[in-house]
Amino acid sequence: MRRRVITLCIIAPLLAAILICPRRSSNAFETVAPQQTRRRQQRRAPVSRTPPRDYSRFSHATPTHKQQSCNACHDAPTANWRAARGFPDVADYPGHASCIRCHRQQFFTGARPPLCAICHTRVAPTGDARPVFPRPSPFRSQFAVEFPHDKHQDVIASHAPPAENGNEARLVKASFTTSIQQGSAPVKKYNNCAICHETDEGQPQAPPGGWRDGFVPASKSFKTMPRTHASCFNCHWKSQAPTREDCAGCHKLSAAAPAQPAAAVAGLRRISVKFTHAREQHTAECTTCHINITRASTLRGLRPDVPITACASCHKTSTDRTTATIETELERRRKDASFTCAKCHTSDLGRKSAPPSHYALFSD
Amino acid sequence: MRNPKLTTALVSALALGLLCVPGGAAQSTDVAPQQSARGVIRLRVRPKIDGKEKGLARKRFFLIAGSLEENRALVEAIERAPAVSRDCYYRRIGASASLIRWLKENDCESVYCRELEMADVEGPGAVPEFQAAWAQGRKEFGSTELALKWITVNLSAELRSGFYKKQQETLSALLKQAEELTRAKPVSVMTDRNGTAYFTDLAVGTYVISNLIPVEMGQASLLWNCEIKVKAGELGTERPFLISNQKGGNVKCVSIEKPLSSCDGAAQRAARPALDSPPVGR
Repeated sequence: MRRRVITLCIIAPLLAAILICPRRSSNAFETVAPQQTRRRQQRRAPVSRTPPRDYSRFSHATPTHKQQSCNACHDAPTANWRAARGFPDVADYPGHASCIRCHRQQFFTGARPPLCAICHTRVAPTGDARPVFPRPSPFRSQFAVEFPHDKHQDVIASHAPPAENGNEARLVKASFTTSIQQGSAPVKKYNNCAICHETDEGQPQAPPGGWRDGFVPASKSFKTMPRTHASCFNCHWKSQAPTREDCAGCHKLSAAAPAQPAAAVAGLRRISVKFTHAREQHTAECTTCHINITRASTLRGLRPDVPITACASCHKTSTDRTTATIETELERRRKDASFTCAKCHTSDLGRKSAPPSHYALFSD
Repeated sequence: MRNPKLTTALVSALALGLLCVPGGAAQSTDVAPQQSARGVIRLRVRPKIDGKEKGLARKRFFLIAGSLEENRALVEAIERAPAVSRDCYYRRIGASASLIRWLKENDCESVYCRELEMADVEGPGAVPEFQAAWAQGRKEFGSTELALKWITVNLSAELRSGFYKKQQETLSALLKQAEELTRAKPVSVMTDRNGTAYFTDLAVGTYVISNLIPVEMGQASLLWNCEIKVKAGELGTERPFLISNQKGGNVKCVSIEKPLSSCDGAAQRAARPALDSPPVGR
């Protein structure tokens, strides 16, 4: 009985406060202009069901923001493009004018308006310091990039076999592009996968939890992925759709595909982590191993994009029985279920059951 | 624990459920699984050019469900489809002789084929279209290098991707017909520099393999429409499906070879001094 009385004493004043006090926070962040908001506030003043909005976080997905065209806020190019990028680009946050149109109220709220935190590192009306644009890792992008590999490969496709074999091998090794050597003339650079994917000279970033079995891939094991518009705007700056004004042509709000932290994109998971692109025998043309990439109309659903079939042309068997091959490792696995396949995999995958595709190599 | 009996019953049911899950997580023995009901085709396209066999690089091939007989109407449509040669296309849009030569010398279908160099915009080998676009880029970006690197943004749409789009029109119509006929979306892959390509994860059955749009080879065009059977568990690692323009021991598919169509009146236009004012983008 005593407990009930205490509970009532706490809840009753709380309810009264909620019902009587006028609502202070505005809901204008994602819906309406200030004037309309005031009218709505008068009508709805007595009841507040939604929690106050967090104006320190910006969402592209609110209904009002979704209605805006991208260039309502983002300039392309921004004034700082020369210094920031060296090529015309969206290289900075939108200006104040983009926000203040609807968020005047939040702009002038107190000495530390939460809204400032969206773009500024110091929350104060006088601070103008900003993090790099776009924000670096672990910032979570609200967009997924849609890239039709197949179309791009068709457009840059060469008309006929470009060169004699001897030449190609050497040049392919250098840059993953096919080229023509004309006498002593400089080598011509044919556009290929390498226009977007270069050899990553840096030390690979360890996955969360660190490298398995202490195996640290060497530099040049991986290829880079485009991180800026540099690989896009050289063709899609204007005229060639989607252009810089049609952001949604490539950037899809990630309702369908959940937003990924930049770090996750940076360290795409490789099943055969011991493979290195840099090894001299691994310098074939990209599509020699990435055999599914040319049928990909998006970046999704490419698992795996290098099936075992691509590896089997060299690693299925060997005349030297001491060399680890798919055959020798599967044999050892048959004899000893605890055997860990280690030629290509680290132990997290190497101790699991081999997939049917591996056994199918020997089904003929 | 208000009702110990109910709790016990719930826990037992849960445990039983977990035990009954098919292929429980506890299963770890590494037994070779049954043969996969999917297959792989390894395609090798190696036509003979000037008596020498060469891999046909970067050409797209399509796989259409069903046999040649089942796809007869489609195959006839593929053979009838209008094909515009590269040279004819560029002549028709009034491209300069220098650009046509540049495309030919570099074995390119479009201006996106390779990076441009100073020799392409200056000096005796300069291409007028590139020169104009480069000049426009220099004004726009204030940088010689950037203008060269981004040269295609100042070329007209016809020059940039017109030939590709023309081919895509034909291709889209044929693919639509194939999809309607077979009720399955054709899959496609592009050959690598050795003329090899893989179709993976295929359902067992009969297919038609085709390039849909003829490939230009010298003064001829090559079109392939062949039947292929995919068997369960076949990974294509041992036996490639060899395609050529001539019959031979292991060749499984020979092309229909036709001379390239003449460019109606285009040669006349190409010879005109219209080349001084090449098409340049906005």
